Amino acid sequence: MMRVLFLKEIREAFASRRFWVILALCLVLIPLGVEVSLKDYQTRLQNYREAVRIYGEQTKTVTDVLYKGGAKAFAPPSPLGFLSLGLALVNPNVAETQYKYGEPPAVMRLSNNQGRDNLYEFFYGPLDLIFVVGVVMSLLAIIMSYGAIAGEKEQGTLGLVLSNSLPRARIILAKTAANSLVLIIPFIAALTLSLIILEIQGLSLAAVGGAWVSIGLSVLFAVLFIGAFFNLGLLVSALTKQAVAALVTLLLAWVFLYGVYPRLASAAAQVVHPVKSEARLALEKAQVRANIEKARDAEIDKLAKAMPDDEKSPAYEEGKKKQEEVRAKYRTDLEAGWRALDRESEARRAALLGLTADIARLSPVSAFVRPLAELSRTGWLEYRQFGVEAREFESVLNRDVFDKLTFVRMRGGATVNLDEKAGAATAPAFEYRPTPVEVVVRNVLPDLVLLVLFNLLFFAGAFIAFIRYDAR
Amino acid sequence: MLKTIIRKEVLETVFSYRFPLFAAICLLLIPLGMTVNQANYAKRVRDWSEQVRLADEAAAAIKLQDIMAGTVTIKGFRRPAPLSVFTQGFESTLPRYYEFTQDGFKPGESASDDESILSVQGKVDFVFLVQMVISLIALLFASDMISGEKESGTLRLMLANRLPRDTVLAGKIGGGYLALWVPFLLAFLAGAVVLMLGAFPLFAGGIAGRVLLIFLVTSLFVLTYFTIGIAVSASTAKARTSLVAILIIWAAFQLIIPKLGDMAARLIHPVRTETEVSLQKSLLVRSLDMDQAKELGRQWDLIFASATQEARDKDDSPENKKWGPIRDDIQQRTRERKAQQLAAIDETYAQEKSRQINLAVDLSLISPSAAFARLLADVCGTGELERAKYLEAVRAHQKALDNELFSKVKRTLMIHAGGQMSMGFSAMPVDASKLPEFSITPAAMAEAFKANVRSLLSLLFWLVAPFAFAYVKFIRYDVR
Repeated sequence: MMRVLFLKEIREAFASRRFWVILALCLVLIPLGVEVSLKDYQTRLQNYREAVRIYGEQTKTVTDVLYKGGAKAFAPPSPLGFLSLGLALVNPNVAETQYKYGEPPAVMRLSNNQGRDNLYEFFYGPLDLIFVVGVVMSLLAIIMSYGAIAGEKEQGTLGLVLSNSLPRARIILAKTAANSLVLIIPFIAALTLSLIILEIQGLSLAAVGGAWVSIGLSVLFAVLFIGAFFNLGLLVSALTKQAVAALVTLLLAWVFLYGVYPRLASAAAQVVHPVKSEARLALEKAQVRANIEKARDAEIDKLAKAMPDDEKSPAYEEGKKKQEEVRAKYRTDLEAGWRALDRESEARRAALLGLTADIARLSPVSAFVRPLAELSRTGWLEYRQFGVEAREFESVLNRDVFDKLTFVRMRGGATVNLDEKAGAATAPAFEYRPTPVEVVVRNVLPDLVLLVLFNLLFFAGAFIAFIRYDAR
Repeated sequence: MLKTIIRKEVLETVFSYRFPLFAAICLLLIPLGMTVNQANYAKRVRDWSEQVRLADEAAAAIKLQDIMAGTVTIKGFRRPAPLSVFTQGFESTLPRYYEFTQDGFKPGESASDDESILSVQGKVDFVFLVQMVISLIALLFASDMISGEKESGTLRLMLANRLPRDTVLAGKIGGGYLALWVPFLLAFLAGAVVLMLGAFPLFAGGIAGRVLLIFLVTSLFVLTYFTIGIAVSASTAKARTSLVAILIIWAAFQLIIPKLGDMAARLIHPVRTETEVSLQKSLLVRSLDMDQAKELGRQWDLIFASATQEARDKDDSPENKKWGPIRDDIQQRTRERKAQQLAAIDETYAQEKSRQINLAVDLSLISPSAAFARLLADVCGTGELERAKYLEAVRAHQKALDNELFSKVKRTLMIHAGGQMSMGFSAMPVDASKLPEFSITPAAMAEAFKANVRSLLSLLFWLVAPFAFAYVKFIRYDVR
């Protein structure tokens, strides 16, 4: 009997206009979105390569870094951006030293140089897979499911089916299975087509570790997400007598889950964990530096007054050593102060992001959107990773470049010395390592489980409601 | 008769599930969004005034040596737009400041660099709520005004009276819209109260007028969507079909058309990226500077090759007297060439970009939702107009700084025949505390409207055409 029911549902679905509309939409929107994302990615990759090349040509030695404009670090765009553009236009991908002449340590300023070229994409949002699945497919899932029960009751066919000796469980299982196939098959077909297009155009996924794992997981997330909305539609349909009321409720729920709730979650989390903006943090750090340097300069001034003019005298060497000691002491204080500020800010931000994710997860949309951004390497994990790598590069720069300068203050002024061999050494290079795939998978696993739970929950609710449904 | 129908429609809506649902959604979300945005705006203004203060202090402390070393950067900050509490627009992507140096200006970070992580899915601003939620609700309410009444049988009862159909239609539109408009008005007022409580400068220069304008334009926008819903309802026999049609229309207007417009424009008129262009400009500057340095070196060698040390050092020696005007002339010519060629690159790029943007905008304006968003963004000072004004102010400020500051110090880099480099300095006194202040003249209301003629036309079209369409369809509607 299951087979008959299943075939009936399938035939009904395929015969209706709905299936062909869905197929057409998928086959058009998904490859189109992927193609456009690919073109964007290629432009951004080219920008990245140009920037790296020009920086490399200008800055070959340590002296270049010191006198020609500082050090720069670039992160390449993620080739998986076609899955989810995520925060790619907003996450920092450039770190530059802000080095005031004569004043180590180096501080790197993080910024993003992509957003400005893509203003309207930023405004309206990209046509990536998140959009197609998150908006189009979920709406289609709602359209397929809102009339599944209430609609059939209105038409009178539900009563006819149930007048057979047919367990209700089988009926609803057959509906779910058949209609899900109608949604999933066009989606998978269109996705395969897109991946073929990407292969043909030579998109190299090797730069990102575990790219195929990421793509596979993304497809799984997408299927579960579509399923969750389908089951939600089924649930609402089984709770209402009129198909129209079901559709209205579902649409409002969709708008709420998709547009309003995630933002409210973000705002609520910010109330609980307010966080300093990067600008304010930079201001505070600059203040700390100014205070420490004032105290340091006062001490060094005193020493400078006692310096002899003869550079070769032993008193000069002693004076120089004393100045270096003072500098080293204040430098340690400065770094300790900055580290404390950084740690506090990091902890607050981590708490905020964690809370936002936790609150937002209650909407299946967020349980889908955020993990996909992480899997595409355009999410919060990548934001953190670039920050970590930039800080590491900072300490390398301090060690190999900025600390090679020695300052000696005298009565009349100051001398700056740079050891010639140190100056001629090659400038340190930056190689960005994206978040390893194990970390990403561990990060998205809870959301995967949550989506499975949503599916089960909604389906169980629909099941129970349907068992008691008045089909007359 | 019209008044009776309007009253009937209002009462019907109020007593159904829709009115409390819509009222609750409006009264909850609009003031909530205002609270969040107002707190965020206050924070941004605090940060801005502190940064301006620090930048002013830094500017006052500029020493001549810094200028000569070429390490002076003056920052010009953009004040956050107060009406960004209604719509974000480009507020978070515009650079918070520009850096002005000897060699030109460079954009600083934008607010989104700061808060990217915190605003990953955008803010709940007023325009977003109207576009996403209120417009959908207006469509939903309107969608079964006609087809729903036909299904329940009451439409033919109504028309069995001696009732002209256009009165019925007008009554439905008027009554249904009124039931929507009143909760919206109350929610808007609640939002305004929230702003006032948050010490928002609601009654400062011209803001109150713009807020009123925002309310009127939004009311018209909601009416537009309501009319579209009625038009769809009058073309379908079943409420279910109307709903699906409305959903597709809403998704097309809100989500698909703007994106497709932008994509199509990018495919039809591809444009180089800003990064590429600034790369091209800096390469040009470098090569012109090198040429100038070589030329200066050559001339210097010609004059001073056989001169004594004394002649080189004394400012009024015959050699120096000859050197001065030649050096100034070479530098002037290079400056002119630089300015001309840079302007040419900028001009070409601006034309390319504006062709692409104009096409994207024209295509996206097919959607009344996009037209609404653009118009309101410009009224609130966070739209395309603001971007243009910002750039204008930046260029003007660079010119002013060039006159007051950067031209007072001349660094002359010379490359001599043997490849050696030498640097000469000449400086005039500079009063760093008297430098001009950076400010952007906000666009007047008239300007915003002039720049948005196409948006207004689109909105007008979508207000009038569905009404006419609904009229024609309803006259011949089968009510049995």
